[in-house]
Amino acid sequence: MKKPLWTTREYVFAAMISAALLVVASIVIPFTLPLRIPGLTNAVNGLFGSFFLVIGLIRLKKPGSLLLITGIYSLICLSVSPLVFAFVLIGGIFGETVCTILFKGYHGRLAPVCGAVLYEMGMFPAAMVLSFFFLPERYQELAPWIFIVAEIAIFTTSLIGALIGLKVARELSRAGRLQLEES
Amino acid sequence: MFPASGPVNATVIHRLHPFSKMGVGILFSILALCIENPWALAVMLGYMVLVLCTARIRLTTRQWTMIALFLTVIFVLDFLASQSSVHAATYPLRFGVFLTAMPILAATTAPQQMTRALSRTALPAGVVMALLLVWRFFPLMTEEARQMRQAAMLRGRTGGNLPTRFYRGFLVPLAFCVIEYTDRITLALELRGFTPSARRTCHQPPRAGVRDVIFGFLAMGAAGSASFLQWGA
Repeated sequence: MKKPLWTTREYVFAAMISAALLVVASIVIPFTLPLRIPGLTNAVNGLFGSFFLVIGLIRLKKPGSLLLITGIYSLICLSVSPLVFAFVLIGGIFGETVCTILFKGYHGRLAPVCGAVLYEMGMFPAAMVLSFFFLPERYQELAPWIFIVAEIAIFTTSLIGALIGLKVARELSRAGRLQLEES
Repeated sequence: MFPASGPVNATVIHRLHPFSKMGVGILFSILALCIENPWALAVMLGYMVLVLCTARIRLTTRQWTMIALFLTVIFVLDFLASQSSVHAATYPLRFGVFLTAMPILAATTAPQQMTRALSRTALPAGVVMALLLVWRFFPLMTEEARQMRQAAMLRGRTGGNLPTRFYRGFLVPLAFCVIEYTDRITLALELRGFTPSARRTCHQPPRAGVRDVIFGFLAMGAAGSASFLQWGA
């Protein structure tokens, strides 16, 4: 029998990380979405999303890990909206492509942090482009500086989240629940 | 958003092919984004409410209140921003269609139905299994998260400032919970002989029938009426 790319444990871990992302989104989004500030939802969600993504990427390590987690997450988001599915997947593909080219996987500590931050940052422009496609009259008046400020905010919060994730990964490693590479 | 309702064959909506429900959900979600006429959006929302009633999904008073409150907040904020009642009505209605189209149909699809439907696709067996795990464990994890937050609130201010309490009382326990579930589920799956390299077999693959055609036509009718109100009138 052909050896599968991912083991059962890796699929289950990716599924549980996706479930954690969904739990966090279900708590954060109802509070931030009605405020209708561009990028606010992504910035707040990025803080917690990148936290779990870093733990997931540190555990999975293989190239394609980010795409596996975000692919499962996006397919679940399809039950909410096809638009959410599209921008989650685009964010995942963007982060995965850059990290595969630069790091060839998620070994060490920089690659998981970079992957998580790029995913969160990639989602916002994708969401804006898709929103512009459907609602051009609302988004054509959006000033470019708002977009830049939103991206800086997303970068900052997701980096903080990713660094906290790294700290918790160390705690999990000390507890013997996660294998962490020294680099 | 909506609670899973009844057994697999409870109503005609439950018996529909999962992919026909998914198709209608995607059509309505995309159309809702393109439409700006509140009456057209009301037609679509009306159709989804009809589906909700047919599927016998009963929401509690608290859930209805929360939905009404949420949509009212959106209406008020939009009205303050645009000073137009038509514009302010459009956004909550669009949001209403957006939040009902796919979730109602997801709530009426049992995991085993979804497994059977997905097993007929080209998706890898591991991904199908992962999707079902998220489907199954999301409510459990939400409950765990709620209990963690309650426990953190009961501990009060003794655990440091708010970010520290949130970190120690919510994020770290949730991360441990993820690892704990992974270990247990992996063991359970491996003991049952699951392997990602083997294709899943299906005893009763779901097939589209007359009810799917009728459901599709009715949905197309609602979507066509909404499109006519938006672009034709």
